[in-house]
Amino acid sequence: MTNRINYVTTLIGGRGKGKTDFLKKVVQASNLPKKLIVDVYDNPVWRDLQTHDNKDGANIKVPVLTLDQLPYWKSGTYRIFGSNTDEIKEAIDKYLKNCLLIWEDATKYYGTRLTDIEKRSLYDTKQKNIDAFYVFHSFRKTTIEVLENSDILTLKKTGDNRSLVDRKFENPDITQLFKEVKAHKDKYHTASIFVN
Amino acid sequence: MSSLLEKVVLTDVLSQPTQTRTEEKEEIETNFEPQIKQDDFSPHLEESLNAIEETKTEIESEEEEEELDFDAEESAESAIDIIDVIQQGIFTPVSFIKLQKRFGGKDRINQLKASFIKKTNGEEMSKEEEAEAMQYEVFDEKIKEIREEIPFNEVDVAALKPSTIKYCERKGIDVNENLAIGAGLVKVLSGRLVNILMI
Repeated sequence: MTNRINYVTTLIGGRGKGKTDFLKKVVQASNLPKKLIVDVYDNPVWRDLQTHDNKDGANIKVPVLTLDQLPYWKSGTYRIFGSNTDEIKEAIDKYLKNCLLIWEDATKYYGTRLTDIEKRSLYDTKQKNIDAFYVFHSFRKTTIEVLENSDILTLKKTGDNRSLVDRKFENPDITQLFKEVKAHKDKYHTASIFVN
Repeated sequence: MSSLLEKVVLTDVLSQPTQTRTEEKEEIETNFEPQIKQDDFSPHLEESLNAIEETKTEIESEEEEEELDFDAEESAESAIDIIDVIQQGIFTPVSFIKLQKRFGGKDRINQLKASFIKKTNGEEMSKEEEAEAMQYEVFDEKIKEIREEIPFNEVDVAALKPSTIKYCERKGIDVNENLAIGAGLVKVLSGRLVNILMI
């Protein structure tokens, strides 16, 4: 069986639309030996893998990893958080390989333009065997360079206007996906497409 | 809903194997004992991790509570509003004055306006006055364009917001409710002030 390439996914979804539950399912499905969730604070929802339809996930804890431990970490699901996200990004860029990496709530620490480290993180995923997820709350808050360099766009409902989606990304597939997800009757609906 | 888009089942895709990359052993200074610097994530290391995690979680929770004592996003929105007010307050009158000069100065504009009012009232006008009224319409149109161009639009705000949120978080800048109300008030009042300045 041929190994697949690694993927970068941009996940966009409004608050309360089930992004975390979706990501927890991805964490459990991923074949990679390491799974790391990056956040700016100790988000209680990431302390275990419980989801709306998997209460047993509460028994699967997601411990905290410190930056000092990162170079020696070999497997398992961990999370890392802190307000100094530049330091975290540097350590991840330097040490992380073979990992499903989730940049939770990336809106808070990914600006309009990517820094050199952020670019390396984004572009070197295949060389490091990293499947990366960049999570944003809306198209309006999505870093364009991240989406433009993602392989996959996963979309949940957002509060964006279609005109903004058209104007900001100029990709008919993205607009179409946006329309479909917006029109879907299930508020937790999720759809993914290859965008590159 | 029917769709031509080819959808991906992400959990299926990501469950497929990938090419594992070699991880170098990094010899760096850490708080760990040398014996736990090993390739595998041993139970010994896991215990250490869990012990450290508990302490770390407590400490960082306190730190984070302190740091996230305010909503950085709200602060950023208020800060952007304030910046918008300032830049409107600066650029609108400056642009108005420049435009006024281009049309011959304040007295000339008053003259053009008088002809325009005459036209609006349907009074009898000379050819020169008709030309002046038209010039005033052009001037008025330009002013409208400037007024629409200067304030931040949705895209400007979207571009500014992530970095402003980040800045507010890092620097602990809390644009509190009073200031936010103040910013809103200043925004309304400054609009009126600019109108008055441009009369």
